[in-house]
Amino acid sequence: MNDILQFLAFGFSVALQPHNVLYAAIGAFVGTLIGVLPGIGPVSGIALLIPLIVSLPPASAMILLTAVYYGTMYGGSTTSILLNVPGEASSVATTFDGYQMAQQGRAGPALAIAAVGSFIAGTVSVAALMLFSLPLAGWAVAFGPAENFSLMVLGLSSVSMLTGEHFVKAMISTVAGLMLATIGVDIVSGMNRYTFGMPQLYDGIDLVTGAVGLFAVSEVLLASNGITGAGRVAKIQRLWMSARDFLDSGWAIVRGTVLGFYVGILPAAGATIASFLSYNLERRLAKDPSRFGKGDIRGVAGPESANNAAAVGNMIPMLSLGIPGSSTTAVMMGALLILNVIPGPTLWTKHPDVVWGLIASMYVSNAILLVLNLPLVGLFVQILKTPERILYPIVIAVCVIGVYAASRSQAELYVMLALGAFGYYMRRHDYPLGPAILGLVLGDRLEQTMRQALIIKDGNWAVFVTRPLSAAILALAGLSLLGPLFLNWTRARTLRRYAAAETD
Amino acid sequence: MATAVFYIREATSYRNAAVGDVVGPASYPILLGACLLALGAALLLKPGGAPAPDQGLAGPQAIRFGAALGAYVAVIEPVGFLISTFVFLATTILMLGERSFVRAGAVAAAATISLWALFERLLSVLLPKGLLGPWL
Amino acid sequence: MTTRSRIGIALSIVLVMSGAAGAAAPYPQRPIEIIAPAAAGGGWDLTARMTVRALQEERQISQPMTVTNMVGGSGAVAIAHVNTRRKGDAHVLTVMGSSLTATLARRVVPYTFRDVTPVAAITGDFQVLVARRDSNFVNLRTFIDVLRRDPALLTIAGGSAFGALDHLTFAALAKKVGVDATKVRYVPTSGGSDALTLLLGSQVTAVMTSVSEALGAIEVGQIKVLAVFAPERIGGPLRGVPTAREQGTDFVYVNWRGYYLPPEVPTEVTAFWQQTIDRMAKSKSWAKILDETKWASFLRFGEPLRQFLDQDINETASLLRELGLMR
Repeated sequence: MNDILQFLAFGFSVALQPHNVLYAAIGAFVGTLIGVLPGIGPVSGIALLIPLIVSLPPASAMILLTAVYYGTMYGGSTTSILLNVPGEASSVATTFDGYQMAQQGRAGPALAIAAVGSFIAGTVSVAALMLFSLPLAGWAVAFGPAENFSLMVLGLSSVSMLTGEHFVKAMISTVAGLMLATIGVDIVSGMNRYTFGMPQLYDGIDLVTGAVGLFAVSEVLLASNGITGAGRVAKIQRLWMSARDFLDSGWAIVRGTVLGFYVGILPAAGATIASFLSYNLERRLAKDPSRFGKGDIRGVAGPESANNAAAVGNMIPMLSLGIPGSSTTAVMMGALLILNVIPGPTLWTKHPDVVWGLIASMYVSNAILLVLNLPLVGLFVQILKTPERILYPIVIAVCVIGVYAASRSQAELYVMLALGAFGYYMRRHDYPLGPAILGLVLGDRLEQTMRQALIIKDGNWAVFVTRPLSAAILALAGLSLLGPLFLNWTRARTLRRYAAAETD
Repeated sequence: MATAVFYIREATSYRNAAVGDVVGPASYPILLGACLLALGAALLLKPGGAPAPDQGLAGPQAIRFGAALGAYVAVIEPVGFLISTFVFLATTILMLGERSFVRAGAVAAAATISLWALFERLLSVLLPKGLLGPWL
Repeated sequence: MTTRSRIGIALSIVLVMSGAAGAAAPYPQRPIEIIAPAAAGGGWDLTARMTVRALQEERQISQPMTVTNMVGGSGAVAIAHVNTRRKGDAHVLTVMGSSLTATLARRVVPYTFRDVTPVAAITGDFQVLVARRDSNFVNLRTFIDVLRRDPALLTIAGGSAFGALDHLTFAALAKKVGVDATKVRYVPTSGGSDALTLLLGSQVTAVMTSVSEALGAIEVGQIKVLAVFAPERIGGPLRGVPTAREQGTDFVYVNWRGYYLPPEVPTEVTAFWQQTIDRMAKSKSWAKILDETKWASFLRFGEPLRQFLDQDINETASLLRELGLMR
């Protein structure tokens, strides 16, 4: 313990050097910007900055990149809340209640709780990372293909129940998302599927393009019709959250943090599934689940905490096993290699300035981001006062440029357009979009892990239920799917019996 | 209506021929297709929930906006970022009800130039130069 | 400054005439774009960025250089783009490598190496076979014994699909020792790190991947390398690992990388890049990069390069046919 404190003190001595604080601040700012811009996610954001860091000393470079990564996680929530336009897939869950809050004039508290929740989750999980990184490495490999498959089924089943009202439509939406995910080269057989001979589709639909197309484009198309239910946003009541808001969301933040951190460690999962699981958990635990989807602050606090905690958990496989846990950390690992730093546990002894400087700088960037974001809340809320006729075209232009910048291909823009039309159709016919996007995000991994598990067991489908951990998760998924259905059914039956009794 | 569209998709999924591995690339899409088929049937049998208020497929505004967006996307590479973005913004801002031509133009120009500065200068992403190529 | 003037001399030899008013602007007249046909952070991307770094450190190129990531189908999208949109463009280099060979061998796109202008092969990332530290396999010999005796006992994971690099490596190894590769379970994953995660979680018995992908995990010490499929030993953390050849199996498999120019570029430009890359590959900056990444130098130019590419594509195609992945 003393060692850790000593190292941490050393880390702060690195991170608090004026130039490193400056890098953290720049990174936090640029990251927030990238997060706010729909179309550019953390992966391409970090990739874009790699050329700029080559000349920096390794510790400063890592501090800059981490701050950017963090910043994107903070910034992603802003447009979700204000415009119902998620900046990346991991902030889709935030739209459910965040946008509703903004519609009711509570954009300020929503943004504030997102920042505060992110701050708490980030700080706590960095502490966990620092203390338990090595022991937790075992957890990262404990999940084989069968377990990962079951975890994803759980994620999907929980989101299908989110909307509650129309189960079949939610399921259709989920399956549609999964189908979209099958476009491209099948990673198992190497065959092209549903690409219709277009090489631009070989790599499938990019997740950021998917999120922007399905959500942002369709939202703006719908809004341009002037038929959004609420019309103009209600008057902004207050900028800052009340003590009650904070008390309400306290436990949501705690649960989101723990859940997000553990899910984040698993290489196959990540921030998106963590945020959806957290949303569902909050809804389940609430005494009044009916308020969810109508602007409940817990529906913002939970997912926002979870996706930030997952971002930190994601670093554990990289720092302790030398294996990147997500595409974002893979890009960071590439950056480390460029800087002549080899990731993995030897990092702790060979480059203590990088590791401990990095950990200390996570605290620093968290603080910077909080300081940066809270005043920005006021500014961002002003965006809502911009007339829609000016705001929406600009939002769309930003989406187009963001998607183009990340892929450098016009074909990607057509994909975005097509998904926009599809999303528009779904919105018009009351299909929830959340399940579709989660299906798109998880689809590849879902199929891959399923087939990997089957290859290992020579095609024996029982593998998913004979492995205890996998069976347990599947049971949970089954429960969350069938539970409410069963309840509905019994309720309907009792009602019918009452009705029958009355007519008698 | 939804099911009809998806039936076609479902059918196309069969065209994948299985290769050497245990499960093959076709079975998973077929599984998905089957799920969708079942769900579509369920939806037909029991349309439940609030039936969608069918206001036709799209309002005139959305169609026009979508068309503008399609045109923008189509010309961004050949014509270049600066011109196409400016034209797109100015047109759509006017289309959505702005009265003043001057204001639409000013906002469009300001937004175009700040986006350009943001991506080209700060993030060093090369945006298509298009027709302005020789002068940039 | 001497470097500059030497470039000047080299340039005057390979001068590319610009049409304008007879004024001869030395090549390159415009910024150089390097297309990495994969996402940022992967091997192709790293190759591109490292090249830029070395050329800048050595001040070999007077114009700025940018890296564009053009993701898609193991290079299929980029080669299609170069052939349809960039014909004759002398200012764009594209990264190529073993995965592109596999793509072209399967005829995913209607192009071959003959439709572009290959300039050079630069680096080779040799393949390795790794197992858990506590596994029963002591070295490649014990592994091959089991492979011959009871292939059904083995489950191999690799960072690529059926018929792509890691699977092909394993198939070629099995063929070399006279075993039918289709008798062994192969678990495809989306990258070397995913495959290693399966190995550490005891889901598979061994992993086929490349040196640079396994490096992090090797340094951790939780896995051991059974053999390096290189002509000679590799330094660094792998210094103690014998090659397959040393262990009695004469088998080399390399994940090579290099560059091509678009079709129909002037021969002077090709010559310019051959010289530039040759000089860069012999520079101090490049030596440092090779040491960091544990890539091996794999220089091939001109006719030898052409022969190597032909051979690579033919061997890959025949392996694919034997595996039943191609007619």
